[in-house]
Amino acid sequence: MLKLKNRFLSNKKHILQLIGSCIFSIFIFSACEKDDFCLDNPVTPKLVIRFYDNFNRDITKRVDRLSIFLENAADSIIKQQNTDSIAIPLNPANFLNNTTKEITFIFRTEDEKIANTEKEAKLKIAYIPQEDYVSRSCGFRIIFNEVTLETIESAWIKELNTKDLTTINNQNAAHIQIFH
Amino acid sequence: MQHISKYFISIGLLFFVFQTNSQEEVKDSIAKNSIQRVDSIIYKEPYGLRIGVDISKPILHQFNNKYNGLEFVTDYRISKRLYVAAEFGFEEEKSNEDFTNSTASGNYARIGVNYNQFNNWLDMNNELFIGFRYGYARFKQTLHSYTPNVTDAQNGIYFPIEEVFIDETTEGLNAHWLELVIGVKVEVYHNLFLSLSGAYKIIVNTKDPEGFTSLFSPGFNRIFESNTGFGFNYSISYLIPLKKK
Repeated sequence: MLKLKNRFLSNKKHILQLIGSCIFSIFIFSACEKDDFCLDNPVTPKLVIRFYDNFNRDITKRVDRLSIFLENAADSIIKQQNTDSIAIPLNPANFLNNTTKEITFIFRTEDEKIANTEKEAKLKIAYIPQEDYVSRSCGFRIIFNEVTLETIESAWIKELNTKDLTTINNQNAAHIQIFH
Repeated sequence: MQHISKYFISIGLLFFVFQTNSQEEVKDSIAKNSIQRVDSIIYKEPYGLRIGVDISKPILHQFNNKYNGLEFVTDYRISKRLYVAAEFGFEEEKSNEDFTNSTASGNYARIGVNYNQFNNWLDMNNELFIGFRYGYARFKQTLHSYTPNVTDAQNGIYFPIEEVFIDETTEGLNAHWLELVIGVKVEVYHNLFLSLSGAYKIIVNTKDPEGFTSLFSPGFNRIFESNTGFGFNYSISYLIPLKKK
């Protein structure tokens, strides 16, 4: 009888130890919660553009010394880069009004070796910015709805492909393909 | 000369030891009648309603002006080891995050059981318990202000954005959760108990404000992204003894 009781007691002790260690491990493993740091970068998506060869449309083609400006602005967003892929920010101003925002970008390219070969293209983009909640550490981001594109001046851009671009809410793939 | 002798006599008296025995010698009746070995003294444990208050919350309020709260605790003993326990109260907390500032406030209740696994000596009533709770809170949350996150670690911010002050309150929010509680209770004075416990909590369901989320729920504490949370309790309570068993 006593033996049985002892065995029962030690069994119970076992269970309690198990529960205790379970709680302890929960405390240990959840000490660092992922929402303490915002790991998304950037949180607000940018407009991603890829440049392709106009003749061989499956192959990306570098743009020589590409600079991107905002129309009527002094600061360049991108300055003289040789690249086939860029990400540019969109202006989120007036995102509370739910109105269409229009901005015009100037894409300037020039030959690396020859002087005064600057060619400019103007691209007007219209969208409705809207806030979107992400998480405690990242806060709200801005997404861009009803995106439309218009080429105002295309000295070097032959064609645009926006596929079925309507909303910019991630940067997983290029939003615009430019053939040149 | 007289003073000196007085001094020595006093010293002598100071170290004089009387050996006394204030307890009567116990006559071991069992040893004499060794045939009858039944323990005639059975200690009866008190059963009753224990009510108290969480004293950590007002203290926390003194040091942290973003927090305010009050909690009443109660439990009722139903068997040797099992207690039905409940807590109810009010909490308010301001969450100042990197990109949002909000305040949640409201009332809550928790109900469940405590299982005491401590083997007490005779007349002691201490507890080392494991418990389980179901919690429910009704609250409102106000989003005071937020700054849309347009930061870019590599390139900086090209289009700066200003903080938006809206003070938007959403009423009628709620949260349901489950808790695993572990703690100790010590009887510090007759029928007066101090209790310290910690809880690991898991959200079952929440009603969040539209386009935002509940960052804090009264009774639950800060809601982490994984829908889990922690809480602790330091309470003082009084046992109203109703019967002895």
